Amino acid sequence: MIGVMNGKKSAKFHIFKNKNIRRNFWDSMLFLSPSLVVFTVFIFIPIAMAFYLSLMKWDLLTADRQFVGLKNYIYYLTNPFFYKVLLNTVYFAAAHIPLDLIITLGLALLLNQKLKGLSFYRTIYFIPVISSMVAVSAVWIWIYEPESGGLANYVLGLFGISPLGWLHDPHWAMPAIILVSVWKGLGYNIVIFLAGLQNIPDIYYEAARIDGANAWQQFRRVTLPLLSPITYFVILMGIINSFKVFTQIEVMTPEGGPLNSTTVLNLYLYQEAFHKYRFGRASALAFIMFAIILIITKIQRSVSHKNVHYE
Amino acid sequence: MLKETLFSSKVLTIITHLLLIVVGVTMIVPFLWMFSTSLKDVTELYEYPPKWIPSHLNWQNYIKAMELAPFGRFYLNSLLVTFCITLGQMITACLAAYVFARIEFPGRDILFVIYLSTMIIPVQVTIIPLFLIVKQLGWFDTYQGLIIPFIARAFPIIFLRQFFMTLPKDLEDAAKVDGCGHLRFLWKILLPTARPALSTIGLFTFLFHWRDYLWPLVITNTTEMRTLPVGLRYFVSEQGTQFHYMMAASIIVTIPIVLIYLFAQKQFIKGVTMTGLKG
Amino acid sequence: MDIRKNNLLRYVLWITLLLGLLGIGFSCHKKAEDGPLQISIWYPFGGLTGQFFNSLVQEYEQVHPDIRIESVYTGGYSVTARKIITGIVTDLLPEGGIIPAAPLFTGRVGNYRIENYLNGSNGLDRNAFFSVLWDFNAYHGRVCSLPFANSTLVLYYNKELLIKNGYDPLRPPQTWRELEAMARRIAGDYDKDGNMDVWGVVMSNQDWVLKSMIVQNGGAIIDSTGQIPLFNSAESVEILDYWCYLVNERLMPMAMHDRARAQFLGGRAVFLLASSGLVNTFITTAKFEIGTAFVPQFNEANPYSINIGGVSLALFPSEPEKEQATWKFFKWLLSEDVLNRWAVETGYIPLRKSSIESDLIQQLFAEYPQYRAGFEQIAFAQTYQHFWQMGGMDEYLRKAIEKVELGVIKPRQALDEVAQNLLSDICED
Repeated sequence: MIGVMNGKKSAKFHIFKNKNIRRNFWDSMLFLSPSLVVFTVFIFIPIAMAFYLSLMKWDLLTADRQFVGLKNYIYYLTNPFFYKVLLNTVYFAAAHIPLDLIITLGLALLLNQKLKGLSFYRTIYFIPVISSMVAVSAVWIWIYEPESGGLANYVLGLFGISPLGWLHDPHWAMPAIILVSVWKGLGYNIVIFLAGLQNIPDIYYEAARIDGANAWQQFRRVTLPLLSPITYFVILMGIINSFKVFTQIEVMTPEGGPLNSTTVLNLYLYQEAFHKYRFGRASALAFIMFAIILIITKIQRSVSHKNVHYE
Repeated sequence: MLKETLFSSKVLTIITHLLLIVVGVTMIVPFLWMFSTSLKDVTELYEYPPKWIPSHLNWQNYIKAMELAPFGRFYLNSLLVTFCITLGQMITACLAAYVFARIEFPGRDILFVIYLSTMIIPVQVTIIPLFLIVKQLGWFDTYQGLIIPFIARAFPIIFLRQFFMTLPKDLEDAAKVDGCGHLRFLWKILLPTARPALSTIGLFTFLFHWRDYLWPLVITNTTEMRTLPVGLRYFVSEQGTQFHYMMAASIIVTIPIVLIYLFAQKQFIKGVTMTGLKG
Repeated sequence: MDIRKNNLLRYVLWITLLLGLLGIGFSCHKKAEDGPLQISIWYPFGGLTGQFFNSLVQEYEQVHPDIRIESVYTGGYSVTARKIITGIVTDLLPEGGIIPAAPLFTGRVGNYRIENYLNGSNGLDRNAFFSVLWDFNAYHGRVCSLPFANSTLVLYYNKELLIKNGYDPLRPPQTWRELEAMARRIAGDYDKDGNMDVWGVVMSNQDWVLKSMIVQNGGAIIDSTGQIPLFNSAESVEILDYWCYLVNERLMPMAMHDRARAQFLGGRAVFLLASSGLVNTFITTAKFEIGTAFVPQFNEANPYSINIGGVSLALFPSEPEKEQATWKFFKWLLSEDVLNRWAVETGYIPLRKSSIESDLIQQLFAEYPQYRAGFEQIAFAQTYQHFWQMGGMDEYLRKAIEKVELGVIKPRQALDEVAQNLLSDICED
C-alpha cells in the first residue's frame, strides 16, 4: 500500500518491464522537470545561497562580511541555550504528535460510522483549520487569561481546580501552546485518516467478525495494520511540522514565553536573523535544524519498516 | 440476540454523538467569542469580567471593517493567487507523484529524498535569497512573484504518490494491453481513479496558501497586489488592535471557505469509497 | 504507432508547460512612466492612524497634482523592519519610509543624504524642534532621519478608582512613593478568592519603563559611543530592587506585562505606564474616565526624565528628482499645521516647540486634558544614540525583568548578566 521512501516495495509497481530502463529514465525526467525546475530555481538555489551565508559572518546590510567557515555551526553546538531550545522543540513534538494522532484517529473512527449529521461534524472540526491564526490566537489569548476571568480557568474552576497562569507560567506555557496547536490542526489529519479508513475494504472486517473478533480486536488486527501507511504519513508530516513550528508560538508568545519556555528552534532562528541581524549564524541554525529533522525522519523510517504494514 | 445488538448499537450511537458534540463544542466556542467580539462596541472590548452578549449588536462593525482596507481587491487577489498555485501544484504533483510511485529508474529514491527534504528547510532563511531571485526575474510586486515560486511543492507530491501507490497493479496490466504510454495511462486511468485524493490535496493546498501572510507582504509593495491575510493585519497596530473589526473581517473571510468545504467534502470523502479502490 | 503518438502528446505537453513557465516570466512588469512623478512611501500604522496618514497623503496630492504618492502599509514595527532589511539587501527600497530604528537603516549603511536637504536652501529649522529629536535620529552623531511619530511614556490612571478611594482625581502621584501609597490603598483582593481583583500598577513596555527609571535615578544605559553598557550600575540595581518589591508586595502582577493594557482597560489596575501614543485609543476604548500624568519621579532630587521612542522618516536613495519630491513631502509632513493635526488625530507628540501654544493643541487640551501629559513631557525627554545591538538589548532587558519578577535571579546578577551578554554581542559584531 503506502510507504514513503520505500524503494524496494515499489519495485512491484514497475511497469513496462519489457521496455528499457533508459526510456523510463527520460520519461521520468520529463515528468519531473516542471517540479524540478521550480524546486531548483525557488528552493535549491536559495538553499545553496543560505548555505553559503551560513559560512559567513554578515548582517547583509553592510559590505562588511567575513568568511568564518564552520564557526557559526560550532557556536550553536557549544551553546547551552541552543540545547534548551532544542529540548523545548522536542517537548513540543513529543507531546503534540502523539496527542494529535490519538485524538484525530479516534475522531476519524467515530466519524467513519454511518451516522446522521456527519458532514456537519466534519465541517465544524475543519473550521479552525480554515480560520486565520492572527484572529484565532487573539481569542486563545483571551481564553488563557492568566487570572480568574479567563475561560480556561473558568472551566478548571468547575472541576475545583485553582486558576493557572497558562501562557504566563513557565510550566504551563508550552502545554497551552500544544493545546492550541492540536485544536487548530485536528481537521487536517481527520480528513487524511478518514480517506484512509474508507479505503479499507469491508471484507477484512467481515472476515474478522467471522473469526469472532470483537470491536477492539478488529481495530487492533484490521484497522491499525491496514491504516499504518497513512499513520506513518501523518507521523512523518507531524515530525516535520512540529520541528518547524513557528506561527502559533510567535503570535501567542512573541518573546518565547516566560523564562524562554516556548522558545523553539524556528523562533530562535527568527530572533537571531531579524532581531540580532545575524543572518549568517541564523542560516547555520537552519542547517542544524535540517540535519536534526532528517535524522529523526530517518529513524522513523527504520522503525516503521518493522511496524508499517505493506500489502 | 438481535435485539441486544440493536439496543447496544443505539447506545453506541448516542455515545458517539455525545463525544462528537463535546469535541464540536470545543471547536466552536472560540468562534462564538469571535462572533460576539465582532458585534461589540469599542468600549466593551476589555470589559471585565467579560460578557458574551454585547449590550447592543453593532452590525455596522462589519461594514466599517470592510471599509478600513480594500477587502474586495484583497479577496480577488487571494482567490486568483491561491487558485493558480493550487492548479499549478496539482499539475506538477500529479506528474512527479506518478514517477515516484510507478516508474522505476536509477536514482529515483535519492531524488525522492531530495524532494522530501525541501519540506524540512525553514522558510526564514531562504526568504531573502528567494526574494533576490524573484527580483532578478523581474517579478517583484507581480502576480507571477506571488504564484510561480509555489507552483510545485513536496507535500502534494508525497501525498499523491502515496495514493498512486495504493492503486492495484492490474490497472497497468490492462493499460499495457492497449499499448498505453505513461502519459496516457496517467491521464486516462490513474487520475480519474485518484480523484478523491486529488480533491483532498487540492483543498489542503488551497488552504495552505490561502492563509500565507509573510511572502505576500514581502513581495508586494502596492495595495493592489495584496492578499487577504495581509488585509487582516491592517487592524493590528502599535496603538492597540481593533479587535472588533479584526474579528468581523476574519468571519467574513472565513465563511465562504467554510461553505466551499461543506460542499466540496462530499467530493473527497464519499468519493474515496465510491471509486472502489480497496487496498 | 501508438507509441509515436504518445511521444507527440508528451512533447506538446512539455513545450506548453515550459513555455507557460517562461512566458509568464518574461511578461515583464512595467509601470506607467508617464504622467505625474511617482514616489512610494512605506508606513507602519494600522487602524485609524493608518487611515489618517493616508488622508494626509491624499491631501498632499491634491495640493501637488504633479506628484503621485503611493503609500504602502508594511505591517507593524517589527515586520516593517524586516521589509526594510529585505529592501536594502535586494536594492528595492521605496523613495521614503516611516520606519522604526531608522538610523540603523540609514546612517549605519552610510545613508546620510537627509543632512544635505536639512541644511540646504530649502531646509528645515532644526531649532524649531525639540533637540532630543535630533539625537534620536542620529547615528555616530550625524542626523540621518527625521522625527515624525514620537511618543514618551506616560502614567495613565483610572479616575473612578481614585475617586472611590477618596483621592482627588486631579492630583495624580508625582513620585513613586506617592504612587505606591495610593496603589497600596486601592489594590486588593476584594472577594478574597486568592486572586487580586485590582492591581496597583501595571506596565506595558516594561523595558522602556526600566530604562526611563534608570536614567531618572541618575544612571545611564550605554556610553556615548554605543560600545559599553552602563545599565548595571548601582542606580539601576536600586530600580530593579524596587521593582521586585512592588511585585512582592502584590502591587504589581508578576511577569504579565503583555496583559497590562487589557488589565488597565478592564478596570483591574489603578495605574498603567505605557506609551503616550495610546491616549487616543484609550479615551475611546475605556469605560471609565482616564487621567494621565507625567511618569512619577523615582529620585526626587533629580529632575523629571523620560526616554523617547517612536518611528522616523527615512529618505532612501533614488533619482535626484524623486529624492527632491520625497524631501518636499517630508517637509510638508513636518510643517507646523500638519504636525499639529497629526498629533491631535493620533496622539503622537507634536514635535515643534511652538506647537503646544497653538490654538489647535490648546483646543485639544481643553476638550481632552489627557493629551497634556505626553505632549508636555517631551520637554524632559532624553535618548541614547542608536546602536546596532539596541534591539537585542531591549530583549535582554525584558528577559532579565521577567527572571527577576519570577524570583529566579537577583536584580544585580540579572543586570550584570545582561550587560555581559550585550557586551559580548557588541564585541562580536
